Amino acid sequence: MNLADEQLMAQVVAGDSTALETLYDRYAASLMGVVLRIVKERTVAEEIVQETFWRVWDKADGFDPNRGKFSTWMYSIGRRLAIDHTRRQKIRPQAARSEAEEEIMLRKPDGKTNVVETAALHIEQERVRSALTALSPEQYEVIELAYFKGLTRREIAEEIDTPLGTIHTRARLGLQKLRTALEAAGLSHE
Amino acid sequence: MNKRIEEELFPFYALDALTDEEKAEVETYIAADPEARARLLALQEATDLLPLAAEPVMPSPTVKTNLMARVQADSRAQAHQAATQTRVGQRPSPPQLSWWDRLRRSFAMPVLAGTAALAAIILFIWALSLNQQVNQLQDQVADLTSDTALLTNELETLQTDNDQLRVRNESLQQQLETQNDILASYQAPGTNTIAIGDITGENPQARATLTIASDSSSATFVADNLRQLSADQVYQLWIIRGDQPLSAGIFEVDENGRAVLQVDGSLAATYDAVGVSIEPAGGSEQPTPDQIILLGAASS
Repeated sequence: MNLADEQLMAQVVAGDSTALETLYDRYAASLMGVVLRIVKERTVAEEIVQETFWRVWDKADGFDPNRGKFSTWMYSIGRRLAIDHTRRQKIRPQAARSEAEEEIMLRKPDGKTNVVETAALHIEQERVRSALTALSPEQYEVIELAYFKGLTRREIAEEIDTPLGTIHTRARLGLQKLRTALEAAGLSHE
Repeated sequence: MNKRIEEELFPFYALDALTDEEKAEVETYIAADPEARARLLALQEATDLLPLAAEPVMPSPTVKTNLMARVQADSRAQAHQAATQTRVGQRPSPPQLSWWDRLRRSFAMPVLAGTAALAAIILFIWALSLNQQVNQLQDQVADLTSDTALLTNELETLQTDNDQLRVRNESLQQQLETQNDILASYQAPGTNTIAIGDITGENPQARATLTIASDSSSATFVADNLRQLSADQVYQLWIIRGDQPLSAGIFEVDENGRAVLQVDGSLAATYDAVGVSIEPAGGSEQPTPDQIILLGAASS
């Protein structure tokens, strides 16, 4: 039986390391994908993934399921660590839908990952990517720079030399369009 | 409804890309307006799924191994701490020890102290060993750095030698081309070769030739079987027109008594005789009397 993330987190809070292991198996690859997209270096990304799950364990009692999903909380920790790293390194990469970038290292099941969960996750990923194609390139660029590069709205305006008001509009309309596309794909919030 | 916050900040709050001040402003706003909070959550529904847009990448197995080792160590530490706190909290009354327990305890502390001391000694030795290894590695690094510097110097020297050899090679190539041109000119019809022989009777094996190209562009003097001279003497070649000798150059012979001398073709173009004399080092303006040892005359 597959326990929900929040049930597993309750067990983690109680000190159950196997629950953390299950969460790791469930999310390590997708978190690694997000972090690697930000920091670009596999070794650094792996350190951040490890640190993220350590914080999930160490700060488990700081997770409040009433405020949001576990995955949102966990991804937020990983993203913050990755963005802090890139800011320390003063890396400011350009946003781009680079196929080469996305094909750096494809996921390879390690034999311990639940096959059903993997398949379901894969389907969700395909749907999210498909939904993102509903965005205009300009809207995608703003979302990419904000979410995957960690730039603030003013930094984005400066980065792509576009008025701040236009950046606001692209972000707002882009997210609205994305939400509509995700709902149409059956990926609304639980 | 605060249009500025909702239109400008809500999307970036959902994208987790606001500054701390901006984030605090949004949170203060939604805390006072449940409907605004609901609108923000609706936007977050979309951003919650954005991580799935990244291509999943499996971390290497050591990431999980290290993580779980750290977690297990933390679990043990927490369990130990909890157990210690429990014991402290319970404050049990001192147990009634049997004579055997009292005897055993009297030995326990020295044994524990001894074990700790032994562990400290082992750690100290280990640290010394590590320090020694570090020093050895540092020495190796220093040696390698020194070797690298030496190799760099050698490489620079070889590059300099190579440059010099290339220049030398180019010079030899030019000389070879010149020689080939001269040889070609000597093979042309009309080339004039003058035989020059011993006139003193002291060195009958000595002989020489002066070959003049047909167009008088060049001339080459070749001598053989001449004796070695002392360091303060040289041979000097003369082109003699009437009774006027003109110096055509000085030369020395090798260990086989051979010598080759390039002569100005225009100088050699007109002559009545060609002679070789022995002169003081540096040569003379006029042949020293009685020192002409070889002579060849124009054929009439």
